[in-house]
Amino acid sequence: MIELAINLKTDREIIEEYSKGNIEQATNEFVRRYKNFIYLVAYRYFRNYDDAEDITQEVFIDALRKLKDFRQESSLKTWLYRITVNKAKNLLRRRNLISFISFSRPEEDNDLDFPDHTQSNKLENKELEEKFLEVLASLPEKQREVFSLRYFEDLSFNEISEMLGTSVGGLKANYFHAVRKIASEMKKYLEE
Amino acid sequence: MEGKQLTRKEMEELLPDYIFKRLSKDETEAFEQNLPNFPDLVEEIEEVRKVFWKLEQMDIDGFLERKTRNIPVKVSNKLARKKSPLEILSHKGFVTAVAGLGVIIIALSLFLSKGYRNEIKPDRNINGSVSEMKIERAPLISPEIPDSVIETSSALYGFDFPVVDELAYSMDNNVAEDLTEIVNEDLVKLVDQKNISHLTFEKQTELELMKNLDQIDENDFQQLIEELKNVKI
Repeated sequence: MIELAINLKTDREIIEEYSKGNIEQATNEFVRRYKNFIYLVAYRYFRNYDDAEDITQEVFIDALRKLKDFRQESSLKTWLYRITVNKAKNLLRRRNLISFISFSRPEEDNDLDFPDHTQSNKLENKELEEKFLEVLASLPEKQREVFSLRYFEDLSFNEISEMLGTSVGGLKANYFHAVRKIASEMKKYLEE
Repeated sequence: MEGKQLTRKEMEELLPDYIFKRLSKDETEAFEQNLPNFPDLVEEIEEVRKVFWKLEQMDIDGFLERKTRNIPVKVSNKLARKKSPLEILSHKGFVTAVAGLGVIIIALSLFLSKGYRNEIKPDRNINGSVSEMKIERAPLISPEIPDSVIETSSALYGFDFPVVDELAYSMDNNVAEDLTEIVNEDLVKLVDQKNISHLTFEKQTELELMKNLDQIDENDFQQLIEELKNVKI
């Protein structure tokens, strides 16, 4: 219980604690800190909660196995992002291949159920959130990712550049086009 | 950045961060100073703000927190169940088990390579009948084969008798002699019991004579021998 009281502030502290053998606490902190981030990244690729959760767990298991060897040349978030995207893309490729072979379309679970504060506008907000995520998922990958990493994760363009391997100038342009497209599509939806 | 003329491209790149209030003070001032030069962007900013104001009402963080609240426990459980291959390899018990398994595999390989095979071994106590020969399963320990046996064995390979072909492979000196007797006796028995019509006339006569002699009374036989001594050939 004493261990739980220790609050690891930085990524470096998490890695050091983990390397020292204080695995339970470091793992707990590590997962709690990045679970939402990884889950949302995974969700953008799959648009499916179950897949997002599965991938999130797999990413953590892989990352924790390699955490001792993490050289801190990038931030943990960047590193986790790369692992997540790689895993998601690999899984999607496999599914597309299976889908191609079996001549069936991959199942998509678009049953989005973002909750809302009140019961009265729950349905309205749920639909809005569904539409928003649908529009977001329909963007080209670079636009979608730069928007998500900047808008949801508040990452700097330099960090995003490192994650996506794109120049900062290119990212800013992508960000602008993503915002413009989301606004345009959502406006149409709201006016219906 | 203050007082700097911004191009349309630069204004577009700053626009999202301006809307979401993520520009620095200097960047914000520069953006606002240049904004009147791009009336379409002013209109666009209003549109985007309206839409995103709605979207800002979404409790995405709360939603994610609820969706992912069990993930730390699930990850811990999975980690506890799944030991990495390196961890397994470094485990003492695993090394012992692998070593033990290795020894068993090597021993089994040696055993099988030298192992068992069908070998025909004559029973020394038999009285000359091939039917009394026993086929035993015995470990093969490649014995040195004497030259005499090889000669006898080679000779017997030419004998048109399937059992002998097999026997010729694995006999020793005594067995070779025994076998010759056994085969002869067995051949006689075979002739005695079976039809001999396929033999030549001379051979049939000879065999009949042998058969008749066998049935002659001992006294008659001795008398016959005495008479034959007086015969001039």
